[in-house]
Amino acid sequence: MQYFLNGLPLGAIYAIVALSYSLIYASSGVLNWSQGDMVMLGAYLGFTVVQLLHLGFTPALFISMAVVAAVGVAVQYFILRPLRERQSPPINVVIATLGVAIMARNIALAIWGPDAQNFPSPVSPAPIQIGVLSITRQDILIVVIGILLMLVLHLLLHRSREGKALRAVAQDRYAAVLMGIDTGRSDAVAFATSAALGAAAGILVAPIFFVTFNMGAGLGLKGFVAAVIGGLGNIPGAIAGGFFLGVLESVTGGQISSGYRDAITYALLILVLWLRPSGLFIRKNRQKV
Amino acid sequence: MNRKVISLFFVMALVILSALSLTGYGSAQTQKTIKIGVVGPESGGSAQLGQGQHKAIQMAVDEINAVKGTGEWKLEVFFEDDEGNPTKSASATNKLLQQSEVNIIIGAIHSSATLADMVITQRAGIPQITSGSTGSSITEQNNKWIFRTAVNDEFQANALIKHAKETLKVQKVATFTAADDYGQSGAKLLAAAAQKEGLQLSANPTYNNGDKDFKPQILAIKDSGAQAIFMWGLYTEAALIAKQARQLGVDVQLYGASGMAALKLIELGGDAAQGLVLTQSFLPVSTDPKVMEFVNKYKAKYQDSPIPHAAQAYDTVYIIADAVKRANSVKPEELREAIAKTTGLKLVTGQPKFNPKGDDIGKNLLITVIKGDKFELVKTVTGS
Repeated sequence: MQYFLNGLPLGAIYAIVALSYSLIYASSGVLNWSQGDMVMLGAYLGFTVVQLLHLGFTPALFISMAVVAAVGVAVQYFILRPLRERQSPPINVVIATLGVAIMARNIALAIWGPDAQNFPSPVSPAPIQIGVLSITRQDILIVVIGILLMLVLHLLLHRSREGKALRAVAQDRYAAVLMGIDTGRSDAVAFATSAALGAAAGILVAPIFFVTFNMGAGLGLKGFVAAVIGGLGNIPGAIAGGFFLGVLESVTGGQISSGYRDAITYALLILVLWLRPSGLFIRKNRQKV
Repeated sequence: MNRKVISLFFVMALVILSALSLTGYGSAQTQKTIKIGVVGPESGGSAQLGQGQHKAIQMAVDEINAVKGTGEWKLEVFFEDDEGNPTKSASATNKLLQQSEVNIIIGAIHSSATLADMVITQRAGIPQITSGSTGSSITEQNNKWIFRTAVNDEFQANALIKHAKETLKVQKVATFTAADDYGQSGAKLLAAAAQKEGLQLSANPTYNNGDKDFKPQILAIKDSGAQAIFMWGLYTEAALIAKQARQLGVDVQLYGASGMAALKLIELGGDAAQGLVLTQSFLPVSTDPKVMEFVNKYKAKYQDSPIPHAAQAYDTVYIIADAVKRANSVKPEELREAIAKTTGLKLVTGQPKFNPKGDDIGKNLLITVIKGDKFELVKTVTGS
């Protein structure tokens, strides 16, 4: 039970990162490998806002989400769009996003240095005991903000004009163009939202994992596995995949062997790709987003 | 006919080239320079260790050259970053040997990296001194080219377990170690030391470097009923383990070895790191005049307090300087011989003297505890 509880905050983080992969994949058909490093950028920007401007956790969260969203748009505008206009094969776009990831990592290394940084938690670090179980306020905060973010994303996708356009493009890009939807604009919206989600994940995870320039690599890959488990491009699937992976890692790490934890995670990735490429949780609707 | 002329030219060119390279070698000899190559993690999770090593070595080299401490010999130093990764460390060592043509290597800090580098220096027949790696297997490879100026892990493990038994009267202990050479050799030595002291080892989980979530393993340790946890790894992971243990309500005494002895451990660990007991070979707050002199010079130069790895690296340069002066040569075999015979030096971390395996047995071991923002001395254990 304690293992299950410990897996939830980790799961929430994986779910947010998985969402950011799936959102971009669904709307523009691109696998954006720089997502993990948006998490890292978000954490560093939040860290800088807290350290230099002495602002609290909440303003840091919003400022960092906004700035990283702008970075996301820049990635879309300067890298994805020109490649698309040149009709480059998808593999080139994927490689370009990998390039962005490595660039981001090295820029972070140059600015913030190679050492891990301690991100102060906005809540007391003392654990809350419930019988034999214990959980920290930061863990609760992660799960609550994570779920809030998912709800906000759901509302944006279903209620706002941009969200509806995004879903239309996800359903059928060609038809959406015929309907007069600006697909470039909807790509930008997808990249901005995904980057902001990544930044939020980064700030949420920073107080428990520290901030390091290479934190994006691990989180990005795990988030990707979660997205695949849930079916790439499937939004509810990404959320379920994230929580599933978080709890699975916590339980296998404690009950089987921590040494095999990552091996089990990636074995699962291969199994899913092999047996259920559309995701573990998909049932009837094959509609994306 | 024509072909003969060409081949003649070719042979002549070869002769001239080899003559040139010979004179090049000769002129290097008359300048009397010893080239020191340094390998260490200057970026990545243990960057603080590599950077401390880099700064201290640069300082020692500048000092020795300024006062001509090695007579006619001049020290020249080349640095390579290995990020703590054995593969990168091996290629850094290769680069130092082939491009910079160094006469001796100082490095690396991660035991797994040092083990990889040793293969290369042994093949090339070049002496190597590690001032940061404590893994016991390093000096058990029957490799005559390796020396160690860090405190051997076996010495540390025995001292830690003994200290825990004497002060806390613990009976059940757990180890929690990194899954690399360094952590695994630590785990083995801790288990052996616990057995020797009659303590029960109740759990011995491991983790991978770079892991962020240690809660599953900590829970397993908690369930095993251990009264003390002995960590063997580096500071970033140790800080996270301390934090997550406290978050899970595990408040048993934590112990660690010299690999995590960096001020960053205190900064990252915060309240959770308070009271953590660890062994190291050097404390900047010591009243020993040698230590004070080194700390003051280091602070004046870098506006920063030196870490143990820095002190050990600093001493290592002095050992090399002493050896090259006595050998009056950089021929690998003679240099190696001179290092092996080191004696009578009084340095910052002890009075170096190497045993036949290459371990420095003249070192002092300090048992320290984290209090506030610094390490405090609990007691000093003298070497065998």
